[in-house]
Amino acid sequence: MKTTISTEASQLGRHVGSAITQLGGIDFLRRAVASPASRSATVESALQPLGVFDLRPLADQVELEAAAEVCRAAGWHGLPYPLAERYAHPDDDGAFMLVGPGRAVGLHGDVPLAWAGLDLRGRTFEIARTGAAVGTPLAPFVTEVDARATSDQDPHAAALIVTLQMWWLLGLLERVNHMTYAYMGDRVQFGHPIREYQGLQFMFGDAAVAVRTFKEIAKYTLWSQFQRRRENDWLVDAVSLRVAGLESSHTVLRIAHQLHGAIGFCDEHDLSWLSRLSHGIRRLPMGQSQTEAALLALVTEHGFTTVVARSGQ
Amino acid sequence: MLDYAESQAVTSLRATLRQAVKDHFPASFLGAFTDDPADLELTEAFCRKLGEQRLLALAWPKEFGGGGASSWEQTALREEMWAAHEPRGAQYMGLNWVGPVIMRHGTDEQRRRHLPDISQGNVLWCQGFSEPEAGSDLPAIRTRATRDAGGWRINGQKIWTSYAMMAERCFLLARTGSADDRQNAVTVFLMEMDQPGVQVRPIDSLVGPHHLNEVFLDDAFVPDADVLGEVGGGWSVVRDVLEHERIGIARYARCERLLAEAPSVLGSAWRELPESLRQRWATAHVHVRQVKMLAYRVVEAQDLEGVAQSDAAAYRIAVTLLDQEVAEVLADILEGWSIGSEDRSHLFARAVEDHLRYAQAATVASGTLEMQRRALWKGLDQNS
Repeated sequence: MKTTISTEASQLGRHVGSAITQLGGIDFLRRAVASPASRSATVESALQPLGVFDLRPLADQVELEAAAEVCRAAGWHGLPYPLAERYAHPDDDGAFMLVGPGRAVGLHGDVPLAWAGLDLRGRTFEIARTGAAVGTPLAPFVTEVDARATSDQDPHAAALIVTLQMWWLLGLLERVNHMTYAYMGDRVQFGHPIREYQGLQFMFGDAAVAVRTFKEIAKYTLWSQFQRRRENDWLVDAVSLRVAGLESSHTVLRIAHQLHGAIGFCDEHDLSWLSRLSHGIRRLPMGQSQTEAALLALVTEHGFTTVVARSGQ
Repeated sequence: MLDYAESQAVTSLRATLRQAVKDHFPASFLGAFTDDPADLELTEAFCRKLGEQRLLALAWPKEFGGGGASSWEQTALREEMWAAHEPRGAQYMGLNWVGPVIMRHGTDEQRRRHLPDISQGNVLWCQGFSEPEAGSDLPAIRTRATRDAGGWRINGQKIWTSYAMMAERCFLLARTGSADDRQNAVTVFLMEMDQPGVQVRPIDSLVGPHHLNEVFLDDAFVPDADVLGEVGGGWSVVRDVLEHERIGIARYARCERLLAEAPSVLGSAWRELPESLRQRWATAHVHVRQVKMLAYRVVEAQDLEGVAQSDAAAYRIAVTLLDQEVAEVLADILEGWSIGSEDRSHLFARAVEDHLRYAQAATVASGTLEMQRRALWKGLDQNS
């Protein structure tokens, strides 16, 4: 048993992180919100030389791990680009967006790619049209879409996009915790850095546990996606990861905002940008409760793999 | 590269252990510490049987009576035992931390004298740490050890001492230096319990018999040969103990087993439960997986680079809160049956009731949740 990502994958993640830093890191996100149309060409020209778009995640486990580390590095910087969505699609110019039962909107639909849709049960959709950006503070890269159900199924692609989106979210949450920990050392109240107050240390501890447990299930789920004999587990495991990721997001961001106080909501602070950007993935295609309902439906159909038994079928 | 597949050795070990438990215990077995003394006798015989097959101290070096197995086999052993209501009874303490700490800090003579008995299941240990005025604040202990011919005289009181009524040895912490020195004034003693200076009084409790006791020490004697580590160097030993304790029990394994059994036990009634409750059940499965994977990370770190204090504490926080969450979910699923039944044929209801009672102590036993949070923060500070 091995719980560590391959060295090659980790190295690529670091290179991607450096490339995004060169673009400006979270300042690139700020610029992209002001001018969304220009972001895709800039990201593609920065990441193409690193081989980011040559990875075939379902062809090789190391490439799958590399794709996950790319997504994680992108999440760390809040990179507003559909990496998970592209990795899940077999065609070079194709991408899948997740489609939900509610409002007809999707993430990054404005990026010029050949879009198709998937829901959390693996049903495919034809994306007939992607419309205007919603343009609200919580949805800078969410666009209206016209999605029509087809009779096809692609549960593995759905599992892959969900899994890699969660790796993007993992990177974002790790960054948020990193910021919060640093801020606790900088911010002085009552004559002491707030990191010296045990009540706040304990709050941050909860955020640290939330990210650690999310990270470990993210690694397990990634491995699971490459186990050919575990076909029935792919989507169950991916949606389980999404449940874990959404819970972790809620904990980490609630604590980060509480510990940062008012400055965390200000646009001069990076937290404000990562926080608002997180909502696209957290709310679409569905939020916490409906994702849990989707998980229950999947477990009822396929079971949940445990050491002792296949549970729930 | 990630690899969560079990080796054939681990899979075979699980099968062996499950069969051994099935052969040795009735289906109604809920652990050693019940009102029925037969349960305790069964576990003692089971431990000796495991010891003969070198399955008890599975991952210990062979020279000390262990099986020389991998950490992953040891992890599977912990999981299988905890999922089966810990049929090793109180022996898990000797195996999980008393033995390993003696291996690290003991003399050759101490290793030869104590380790084979632990690995064979021939001796029970208890832990003499907490005192009436020293719980989380362990450096405040008042139990005092003073020099006497050939050893030490111990006077004081310990409390919450699990298994003290039946233990042959106590892993005892006592003050050997000044009362106001919190760093270099305590020493660990490997004390014999069967002597006139040691009196044990059981404390009836919610968690069941044998879990809580008081130990009164009135001129108890410990020979020099049973001082573990340096005199005054007790804290370095205790730190090791606490680290082993944080990761020693696979609480998630029983959670997983009980959650997995619930739908089949309820049968057609399962579908009639509110969907929100079944969602909590499904989500609890996710939480079990998260905690289990964190446990595996810690196990691998133990083998490779060493366990970071923050990871060990994070695991302990996560696993104890999981224990309580799963207890609540299962109790809600069983409603009135969750408060138990005297009828031994109600296996699942009795198991959930046992879990519900025991889980309430999870965030207190072996270091409170708050002490784990302190350790987590200290670990984060060290890493930053």
